[in-house]
Amino acid sequence: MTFEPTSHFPARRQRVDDNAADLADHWLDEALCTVPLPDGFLSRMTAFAHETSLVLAGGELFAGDFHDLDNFGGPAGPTSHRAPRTSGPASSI
Amino acid sequence: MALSRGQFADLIHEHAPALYRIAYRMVGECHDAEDVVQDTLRSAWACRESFQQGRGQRAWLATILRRRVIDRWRRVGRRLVLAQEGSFDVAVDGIDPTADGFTDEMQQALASLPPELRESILLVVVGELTHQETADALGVPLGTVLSRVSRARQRLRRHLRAATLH
Repeated sequence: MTFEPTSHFPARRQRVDDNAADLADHWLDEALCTVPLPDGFLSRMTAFAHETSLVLAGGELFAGDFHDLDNFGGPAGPTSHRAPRTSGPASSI
Repeated sequence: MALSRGQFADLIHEHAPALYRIAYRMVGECHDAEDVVQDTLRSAWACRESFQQGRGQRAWLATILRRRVIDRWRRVGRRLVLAQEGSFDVAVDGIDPTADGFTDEMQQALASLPPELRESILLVVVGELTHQETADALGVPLGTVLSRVSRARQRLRRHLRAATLH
């Protein structure tokens, strides 16, 4: 006969199960977030952003940028139905 | 208030690593993930006039990133988020037991999820968006996000457990 310490105490067994589930979730979350950054990633992004902020002074937008602006917080619909914008100030959007 | 160059640089330092992690989990390949982050930053700068200080910066960026991923899938065709061999050809300090084998397993587990469950759990767990921010980003009710994240966790656990047993 095996001894099951929580078999006669459903409430305690429930707590044990809950704790196990919490631990499993924590472990799962850690594993999901474990993505090593490529070497020099932050430096490359900083340089890219610096370059972008100089080059795109007037704002060259992706087709989807309009959607990003207009519908942030709203429904996520298709982005390709809008014509790409290639010139003009971003502030006029 | 429009985003200044200094604020843009601060945003990158604070959020680019998380954006990369979300992008990697969505596209499953490190070079594509970096391209997506660059597209996202480019869009964020182009949209700088709409920037509002203190209003969910991570959520704003993650929403743009998600759309850049969708645009990418439309251009090159949607593909599974399976990790490619050699995806993690990066230096990692110390020994991290989850850095290669298990993480690839996780990538496969993610690929087994329906897209709506996958993006919900990635925005909440990897992006650290609140459930409400995720609901806003996806355009679905809060309860839907809560349910999706819960189901995604269950399925991932089941998939990983099965993979461990085999």
